[in-house]
Amino acid sequence: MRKHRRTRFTLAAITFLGVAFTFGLGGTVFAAESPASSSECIKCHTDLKKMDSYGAASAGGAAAIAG
Amino acid sequence: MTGPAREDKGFFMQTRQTRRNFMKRNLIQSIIIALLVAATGLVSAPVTAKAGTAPLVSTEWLAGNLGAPGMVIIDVRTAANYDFGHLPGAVSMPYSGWEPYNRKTRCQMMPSVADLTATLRSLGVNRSSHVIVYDAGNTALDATQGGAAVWILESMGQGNVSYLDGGFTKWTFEGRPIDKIKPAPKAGDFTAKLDPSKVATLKDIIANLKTKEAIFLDDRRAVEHFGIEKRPDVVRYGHIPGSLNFPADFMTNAGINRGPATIRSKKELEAMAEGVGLPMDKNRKIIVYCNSAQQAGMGYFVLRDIMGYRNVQAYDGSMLEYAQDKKLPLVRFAWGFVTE
Amino acid sequence: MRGRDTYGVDKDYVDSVHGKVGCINCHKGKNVSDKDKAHEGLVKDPSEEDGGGVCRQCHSDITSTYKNAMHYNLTGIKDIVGTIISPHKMQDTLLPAAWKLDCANCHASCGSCHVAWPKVAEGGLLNRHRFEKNPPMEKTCYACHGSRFAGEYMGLLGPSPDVHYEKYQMVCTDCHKGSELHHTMPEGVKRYYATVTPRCEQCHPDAVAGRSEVAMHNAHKKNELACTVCHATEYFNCTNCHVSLDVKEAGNIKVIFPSDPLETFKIGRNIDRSPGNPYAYNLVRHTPMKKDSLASLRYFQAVLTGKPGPKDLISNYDALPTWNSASIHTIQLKTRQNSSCNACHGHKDLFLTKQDLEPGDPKANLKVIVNKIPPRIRK
Repeated sequence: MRKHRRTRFTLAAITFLGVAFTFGLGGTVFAAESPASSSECIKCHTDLKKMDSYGAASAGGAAAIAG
Repeated sequence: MTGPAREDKGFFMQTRQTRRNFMKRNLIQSIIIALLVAATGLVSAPVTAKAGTAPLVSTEWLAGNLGAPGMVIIDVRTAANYDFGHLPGAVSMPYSGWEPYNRKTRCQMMPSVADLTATLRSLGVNRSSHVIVYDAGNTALDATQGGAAVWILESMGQGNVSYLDGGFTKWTFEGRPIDKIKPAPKAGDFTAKLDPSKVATLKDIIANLKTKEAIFLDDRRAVEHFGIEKRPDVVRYGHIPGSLNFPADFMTNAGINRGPATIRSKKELEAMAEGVGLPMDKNRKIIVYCNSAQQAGMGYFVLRDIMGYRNVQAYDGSMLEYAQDKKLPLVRFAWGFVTE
Repeated sequence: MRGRDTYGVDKDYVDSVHGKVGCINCHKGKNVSDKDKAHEGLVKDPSEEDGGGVCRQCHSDITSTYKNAMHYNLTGIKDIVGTIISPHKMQDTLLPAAWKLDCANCHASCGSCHVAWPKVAEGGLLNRHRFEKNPPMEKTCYACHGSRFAGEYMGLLGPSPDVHYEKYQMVCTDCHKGSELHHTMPEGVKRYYATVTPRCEQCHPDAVAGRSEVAMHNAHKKNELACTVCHATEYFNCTNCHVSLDVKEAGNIKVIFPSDPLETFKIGRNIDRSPGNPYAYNLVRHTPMKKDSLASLRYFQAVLTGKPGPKDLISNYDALPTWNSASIHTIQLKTRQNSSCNACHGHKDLFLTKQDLEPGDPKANLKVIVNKIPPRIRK
């Protein structure tokens, strides 16, 4: 009887771990769709001072008005 | 040769008949030799293009005279533009080579006589060549590059030079042919020789500040002349005391809408010259300057070659040189005028 | 109007609906810190493709029509150029290359109005990547519709601004709704036949001839005169355009096409009459085309492809007029020509007549001229 309980317990534990692991992975998969996966892009592009310095460096001369 | 073969006993030893024969023979020989020499002269002397002395040539004229013997067409645009496409037969000498940076004066100056000789020879320029200079011809500034190149050529002894009115822009607007072929001309024999009557030095400027013999003419934009703006690399604001202002920008038809930057008519230019205070006496001495002599070179070309002022010098160092010496006077916040 | 090529993104954008999609999911590239590696495979404008690009996923109702709209296709230009070079085909000339170099800079993808400055204004973000539902007109509309519409409307060109701007600070989208801009242009329809277009009567129903309190309105037949014939002032025209190329550096070519300005006011016949544009007479603007405007392309084609282009590129020049129906945005209540009946009637200079045409003008101009100007009214 004890052995039977232990087996059940082990099975339950394994199942629980499996489910947790799966959801853990799933969490990572969903995370790929979230902004965290563009984290480096965001890090650089939200540094407004740095971004504006690029703009200032390459800005120069007037574009002709079209039309 | 007719006549019996006789031992030459000297001219006076011969009979009269023999002498007559001798002289006749020599005369005929001399005439034949003279004719041969003349013929050789005619063949070897290059036929210069018809408008050889015209300071300005039209695109129409040039299209009908491309490849004329003795003609050298120089393109002063950037290498990138030249490589993309240029007038058939044209050789490249970008403007940056006409006024390179001079370490001694620490500003743009004409090349040395030796350097210019070497460069022009490599482009196939001969003593007898008719040089045609053209620039991009789109903006007023483009025209100053071509104009300055003409000034430099004339100052260095190449008097047979013409400026293509309207430059590359007008040429292409009219649908005239261009190509990518880079000519490989034979080395020319041109030798540069500086004519100081066309180029003013700092010494000339300093001397003229005292004597006031020549009229100073500032060819820069009005805001630079007035002294509220300056080129970043010019040390100080303002103009040389007593100078008049005739912006090189006004000398072409380029305007706000740009190209082609053809030179204004002589009538308009004379009206402008009078309007800015230049004397109508074409013998008066004028020293024209700007920042680097680019616009001043154009001013020289327009004043001398188009309007007929006989005594014009362009100041090579111009404001880039002059403003460096803080002891030399500059006027700011006023228009220059000539005190007679 | 020029853009700023700044690409700074605000943090609150990142948390917005669009921001949450994730940069890489639209722009591609790689999520690394090294700039060049990160930008490998970058799609600068992901809204470009096929009328909407990635925007299609959520905004298919708009993108499904926008891909056939004039702002996207620039069909107007292609139409005109295709007509006047007939029977030559565009692909046999340098025009497709010139198109890419310059004409197409006014091509408007979703992003080039709602997120960034248009390409012709050299790009850059409008407002730290925030999506502008009603983009600021000075930064978008004016970039392409600059010299004539913006200039006239604001009073930078010509004698006075438009009253709608001057007194009421109205912006382009107050009349030109998004639905008009996103609208599909039916096959073969030209700009002047616009089926969805603002009409003055939409806001001024009392101005319609026959129903108006203004005697001058009722004195003219319905749909005889476009409103601007009486209510606009002198406007800007271009003439004498020619094309050339300027190589800034190897691979960076600019198209030069200066044209001479002409300030004038000309009433002409409306040759583009349609339900959306029903008037018999409207104002006409001079367009700068000349028979040899594209003459330079012949030899530019030679240097680029080895073979010169067709000699007579604009071989069908007579087909289209150089005086075209125009919507002049310099509207004022009181103008020189509406101060009295005889301020317009009998004034030949207000009308496009044969004397205004130049030798070498296209024959189509003859359809636009007013042959008999309205005579002075004698009491």
